[in-house]
Amino acid sequence: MLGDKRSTPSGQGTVIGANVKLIGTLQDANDITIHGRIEGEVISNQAINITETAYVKGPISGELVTIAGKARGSITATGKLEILPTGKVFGSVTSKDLSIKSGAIFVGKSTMPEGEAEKEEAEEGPKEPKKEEATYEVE
Amino acid sequence: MYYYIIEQARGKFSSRQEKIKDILGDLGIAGETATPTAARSIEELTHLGVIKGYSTIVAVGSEMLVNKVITVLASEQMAKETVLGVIPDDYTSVLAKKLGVNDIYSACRALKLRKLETTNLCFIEPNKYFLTEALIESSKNSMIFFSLENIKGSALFQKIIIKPGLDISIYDRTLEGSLPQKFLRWLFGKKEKDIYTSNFQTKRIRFESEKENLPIKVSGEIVAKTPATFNNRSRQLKIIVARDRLKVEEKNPPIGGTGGKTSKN
Repeated sequence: MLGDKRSTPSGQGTVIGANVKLIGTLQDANDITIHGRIEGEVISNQAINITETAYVKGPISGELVTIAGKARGSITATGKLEILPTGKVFGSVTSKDLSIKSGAIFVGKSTMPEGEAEKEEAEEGPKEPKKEEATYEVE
Repeated sequence: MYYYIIEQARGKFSSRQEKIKDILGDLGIAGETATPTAARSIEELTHLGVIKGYSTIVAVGSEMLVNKVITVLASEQMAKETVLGVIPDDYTSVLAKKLGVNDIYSACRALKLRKLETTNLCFIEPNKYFLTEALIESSKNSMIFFSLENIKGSALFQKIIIKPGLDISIYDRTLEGSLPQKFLRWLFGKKEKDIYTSNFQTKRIRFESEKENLPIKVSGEIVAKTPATFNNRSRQLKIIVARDRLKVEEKNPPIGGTGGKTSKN
């Protein structure tokens, strides 16, 4: 449901047709598929699919975000972000799993979510003393 | 206990109403009956049933009658506990499918068994309720503007269907294409992907048409014109449905893209 902030999904989700133009915040607990044009925020707890004919100007936030159309603004994917060959992204992206297919356009900054970056650092942490130990032995 | 509002019989339906009365008598659920006339409207008769304290008001007839009864039941404070029963006149309709009845006998039996369901209603401001679906149609692709809670939008449309729960489908004729395109598709058996239809749910929506005021039809009757505001009234009305409704729906699966949702409810 549009504007629905419930975390549990209900219904079929939102589909915005190719000849539809929206201005405002599009929010749904279910999947969102956009074929049309949106100026504003797009938020979903699940998948967001920006198809080839779509144009989104504004931040996008979802679990699985797939871009085949044009997106201008920041994108945050808690799960996976995929930019398909026809996709064009202008803006910063934040995702722990990023896939950019050949032919796609991405102009912006890519960052890992804060928690994930710290986790990575923590995982890398114990490896460094080992390296030092090895260096020491060689000396 | 039961108060029946029976739509005036026309042609082939006149004998059917006698049949309904017989069946209700046999089932032991006969009650007071009233027929709307020029002197007493459907709304007045429904109001009278509520005043008299009937716990169940049964609409016998068309979807138009049902929606008028619903409008009174949903808007009157006194009718909050009143239950709606329906004996439809068309068993292929969306309403009959929603109730899970497939003939007069099953509709009357459902009244006897009294399986209650609290259902969503759709409200068209200022004073119309409906149970099944409303339709805004245009002969050619036209522009319509709509506004939701925090969204404003415009869409090309040929048909808009609004269902209770404010489940909105906007159909666009672009998919059909021009005549040569249609011919080529037919020739090569190619099916184009539908990227023109929109589907979404909301709690409130207002439609405004670009030029002329477009009629909003519920069961074939014009109930309002654009600009119009629709609201969702969730779990607003207690309605009697068939006890074996799911089985009926499995036998007659609903046709159309959004049909699957009906069987879930």
